[in-house]
Amino acid sequence: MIKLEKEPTSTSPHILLDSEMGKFLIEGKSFPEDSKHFFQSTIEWIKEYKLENPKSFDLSINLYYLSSSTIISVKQILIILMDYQKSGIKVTVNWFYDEDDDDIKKTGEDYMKLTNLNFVFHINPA
Amino acid sequence: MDLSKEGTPEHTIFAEKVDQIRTACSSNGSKEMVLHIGELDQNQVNTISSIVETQMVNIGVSKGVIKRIFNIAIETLQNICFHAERDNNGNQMTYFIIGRNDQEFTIYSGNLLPNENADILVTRLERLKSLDEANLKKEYLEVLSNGELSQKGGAGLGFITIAMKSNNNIDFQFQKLNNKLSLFSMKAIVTQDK
Repeated sequence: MIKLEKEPTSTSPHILLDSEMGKFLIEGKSFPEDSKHFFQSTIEWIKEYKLENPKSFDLSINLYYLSSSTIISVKQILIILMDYQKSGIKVTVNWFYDEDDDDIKKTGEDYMKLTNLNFVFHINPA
Repeated sequence: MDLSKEGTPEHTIFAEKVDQIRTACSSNGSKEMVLHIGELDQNQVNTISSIVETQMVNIGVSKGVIKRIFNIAIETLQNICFHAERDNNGNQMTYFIIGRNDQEFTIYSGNLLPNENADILVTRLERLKSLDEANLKKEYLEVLSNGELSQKGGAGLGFITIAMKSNNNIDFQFQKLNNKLSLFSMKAIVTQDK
């Protein structure tokens, strides 16, 4: 599938969805004006990629800041990954946070409880 | 009618509110850190939030507190952008002010809303204010699991986020300006050591 890449801006994260390289990541700050619109292409890409029946899907999320509407958009992405899992695709969500950032860690833990997906937590190097 | 024109009763109420906050921000050892009055669009949201962050870093505020204030600033400013009403001339009457003293930061914001929205919002905010930490988190998880983004971009998590990041130290006020519009004012306090 053609890769999707969005360069980071001061209000939106870097997004890379590259099936050839097996790299799937969302990283940076996220408080776009219209979160629904901003994440639309990402959501569509991930939905479509499922049709290729990948064996596994490892998504890395390293967000320093998430606005409340981003929190809902990320949940929508994770809901698609629940579909992946139901179809037998092995899903891993790598959740990155800074050691002193309890709020971001908790956001990841909330998503894990909500979705029952396999989350692996990583502390960012200082 | 241009409500933002000096001399109208509406403008007087607005100006008095802003003056009152600015006075509070410059007495008893408090300082005004950020002040924005008037039009507010997404570009200004970005500029103001970036100023907020830079100012906090410059005075050596801890990362955790900066992130809490930044969270509240973004939710507040985006709320105003999405939901604030304009006056008859299409002018926005908004304010966004941050004051600080040794112990805490206070984030003040205000915008116009239609009178008919006041009751719903009062009920909602009064309920949020009454929740303790555990119940606030429960409310957050409930909205997170059921929430969808509306056309306007909101999901109902904005006020919950503001309440959570301030340890539920929020207050609000509606002042009726005329038979159509009210001034909705809100304040959230973030203590330094949290």
